[in-house]
Amino acid sequence: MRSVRAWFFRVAGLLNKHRREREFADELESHLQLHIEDNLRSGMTPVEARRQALLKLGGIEQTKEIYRDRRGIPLFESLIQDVRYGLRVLAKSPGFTAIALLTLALGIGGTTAIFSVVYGVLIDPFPYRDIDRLAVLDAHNTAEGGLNRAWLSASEWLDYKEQNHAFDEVIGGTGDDVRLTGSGTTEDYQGKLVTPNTFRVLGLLPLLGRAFADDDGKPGAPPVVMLSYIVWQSKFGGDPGIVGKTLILNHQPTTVIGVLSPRLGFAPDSLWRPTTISRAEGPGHKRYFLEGRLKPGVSFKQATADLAVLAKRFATVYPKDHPKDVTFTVDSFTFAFTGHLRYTWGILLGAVGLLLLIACVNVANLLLARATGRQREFAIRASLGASHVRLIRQLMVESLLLALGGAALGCAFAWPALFGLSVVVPKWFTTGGSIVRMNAPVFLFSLGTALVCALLFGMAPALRVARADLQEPLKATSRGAGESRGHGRLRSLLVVSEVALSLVLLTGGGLLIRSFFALRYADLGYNPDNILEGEVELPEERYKTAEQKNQFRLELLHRARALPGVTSATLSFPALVSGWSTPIEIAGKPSAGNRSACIRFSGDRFFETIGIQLLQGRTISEEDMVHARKVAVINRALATKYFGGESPLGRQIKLPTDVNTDWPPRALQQGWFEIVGVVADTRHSDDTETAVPPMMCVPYTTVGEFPYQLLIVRTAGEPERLTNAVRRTLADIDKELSFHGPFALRGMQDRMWYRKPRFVLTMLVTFASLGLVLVSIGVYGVLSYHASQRTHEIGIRMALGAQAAEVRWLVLKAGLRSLLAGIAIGVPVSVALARILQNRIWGIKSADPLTLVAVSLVLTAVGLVACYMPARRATKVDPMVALRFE
Amino acid sequence: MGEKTDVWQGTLALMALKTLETLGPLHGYGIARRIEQTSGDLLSVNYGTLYPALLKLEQEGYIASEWGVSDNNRKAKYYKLTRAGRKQLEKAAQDWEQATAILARFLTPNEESS
Repeated sequence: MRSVRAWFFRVAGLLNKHRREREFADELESHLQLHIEDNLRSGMTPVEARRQALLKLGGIEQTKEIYRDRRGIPLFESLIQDVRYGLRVLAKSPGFTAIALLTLALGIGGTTAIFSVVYGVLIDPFPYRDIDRLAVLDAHNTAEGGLNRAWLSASEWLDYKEQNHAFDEVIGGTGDDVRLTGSGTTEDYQGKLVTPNTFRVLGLLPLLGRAFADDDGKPGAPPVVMLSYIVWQSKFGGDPGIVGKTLILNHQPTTVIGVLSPRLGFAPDSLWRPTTISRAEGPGHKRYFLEGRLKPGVSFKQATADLAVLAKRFATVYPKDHPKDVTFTVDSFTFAFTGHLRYTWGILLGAVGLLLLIACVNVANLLLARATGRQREFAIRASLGASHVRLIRQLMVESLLLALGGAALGCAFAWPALFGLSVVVPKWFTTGGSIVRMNAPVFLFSLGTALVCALLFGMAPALRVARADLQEPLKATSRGAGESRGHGRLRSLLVVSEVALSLVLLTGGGLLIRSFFALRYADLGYNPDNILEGEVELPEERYKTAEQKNQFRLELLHRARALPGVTSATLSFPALVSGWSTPIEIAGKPSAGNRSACIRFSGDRFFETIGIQLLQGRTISEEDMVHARKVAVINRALATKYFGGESPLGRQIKLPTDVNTDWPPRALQQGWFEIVGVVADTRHSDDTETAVPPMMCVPYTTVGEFPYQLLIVRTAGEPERLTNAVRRTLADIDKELSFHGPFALRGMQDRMWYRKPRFVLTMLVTFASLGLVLVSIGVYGVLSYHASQRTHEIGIRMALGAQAAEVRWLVLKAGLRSLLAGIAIGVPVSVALARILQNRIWGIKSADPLTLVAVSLVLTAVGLVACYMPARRATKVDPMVALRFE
Repeated sequence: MGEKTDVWQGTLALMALKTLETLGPLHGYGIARRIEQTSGDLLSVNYGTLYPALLKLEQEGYIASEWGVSDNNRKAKYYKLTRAGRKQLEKAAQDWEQATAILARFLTPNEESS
């Protein structure tokens, strides 16, 4: 208690210093006077009396000093002195301070910006209550190649819900397509059917209206719906009076009871309806997800063990639905929804961290150069009584000031950078509803980064002072004796490490560039240039029979092919990028075993239009179409998978209809399809890892019922320019038909497939380029300094007749040595670190010699340019001036 | 400044408190003289070291100070014991006696042997 009171007074003692100072001076004065009077009384002369009094006191200034230490907080006060002095020193050399601050701001700002995204997307993406306890049930089917089977049947879901010991509360649901009719339009939306407790368990309050009540899910309850924020905005224009209105959903009047928060983490563009999961549903329909909140204190591991016991019991009760090779795990909700993003953002954070490291090395180098210039200052302070510790503290305070300034400036940079990032980050790299912004944790991170940086770059000059003989510089007569050999070595070491770090960054960027081009210009098996695609839907009312539809198709193809600028046209269902997986039977092969293929229905000239190479036999002809001949063209993958070495030509395939799903159309299961041709494999997504699936293509006239079709047109020029001509052609045939969502195939691929790799690539190359700039500044700075330190020596050499070229080489050599050493260290480090990128690069190995050579050359070239300027300046030295230069 | 000071400052503070109890309100010089006289020449003290000790006591609230006028009409800062100071003196004196008693018992055989 007493000491708290004392501390309070000591803090107060920091204020009002002048008054307190004066008061104590008065007190000492009166003390001396009293003593002097006593001494006079005992017979001393006035001079002796004063001398004795002072002697006894122990000196006025000394007394004041020990008194001050007790009055305030000495450590704090001298720290303030250090800060003041540091600020003055930094202000005195604005050039140095500006460069150091900018360098640090670049590093800290970049790191802060990326960390903001990491925090918003990975660490705290969901606004749910008890997010740490929210869990998802994941099922792995080890028999089917480890594929997830996360879905449960209604009775399984209920079994788990009722018999588990791990969850406090469980939510469930399933996907559900919703057709919105009324007001003259029909629109299809993604929907979700969920248990009514869903939003209560998540702790997500609705933006408008109310969330589901338990009764809403009961059979016979009046139908209600909640709109997601996106649907509310896009379809209803954010109408604040939407709650209470009635929508016709799946032909049923449904009341809107609420609008969901924009931060709903998943299925952001859905209509949500309540349901009750009941055992009345058959066991075969595995379509429900299970999520829930764990009981307090239950870990994910314990929950997994708990459910494993249940699964084992169910396996004996219903052996059919619980095959032995299905295992269940309980994973964290956050990890389940963001785990796949960790890799990408981890790489970016690592890369920007390297950039920050380069920035630190650069600033350390600048500080070292200054420390050399300040040797005299330190020597004088030391001789006035400053200890090593005090001087080191002074340097650390200056480093800290720089780091904090850099962090402040960096945060100012990170702000606009975040806006930029929010534009360029593909939405696949974030989670729905996550908010990326500068908040308290981000600022704390930034502050922490600054402190670590201050330690990193402040260490070099501080260590130097710690080891140095502070008196030495005072004895030296000239600045020519300036830099010691060890000191120069430390600085070269810093440049070497900087070069090595930069090489690592450049290698990462280089690998991604190479991989991107390999990906972008890989052989897809077809030619996506100059292809225009778009959907045409035939209204069922007027195109009832297959006859009518096929009549229209014939007409459309006929006219489209006649359009100027069109070289070829065809129809296809579905689009190029997908296919319907269908079980198949092959004549002459046992029907056992799951054989399946992706099936596409197409018109004639399909392969010619897309540019898929015919390997064997023929493609689908016009006659095949007209007579609805049962012919099939298969890809090489199907041929190899199901026929091996045999020739598939003339063999027959059947497409049996699955009674459960009614797919494929019954029309197909009568009779056999004869294989007439084999075409090359094609890649239909950005997925480069999985093998091309077996595919087969049959004439659409064999089915003829689909109202949808995809019109594919190969053009002579820019595909999008023909959009209007195609529209007019359609309108000429039937005014009410529209060409829906036309796009150029190449453009779509650029937007969809290549955006992810391009984003990572752009970021990494940006960081690498900034790193390169910093390194060139660093090399330039060190070499300029090196040259200026040797002005004296160069002057003598030139006076003795050295040529300009020799002097240039003298300087250049020092820089080149550091560069080459840095590269020599950087290459093996890069090779080791590039392995992290293995999952992100395609078509090349992570230890790609071409990339390594290329980036080494770039680094050397940039480094030499940075070296050349100081080298050239050195040759301009006037020997006379140099020799006088003290 | 080292550990020596801490002991010294503690002792000094106790002596200052005792002085103020015996003599009533007194200025720094007076306290210093009194301590010197009472301790004989054993503690030939630098009077200056007394002032931080007085400041510490004042910060802790054991003594209070105000400006006054001395016997020979000089302006001086007078220190006096507070209620808390009186209590503290009692406690510190007790502690001190106990400590010296223990130390005395502890050290006596040593003296005999030497």
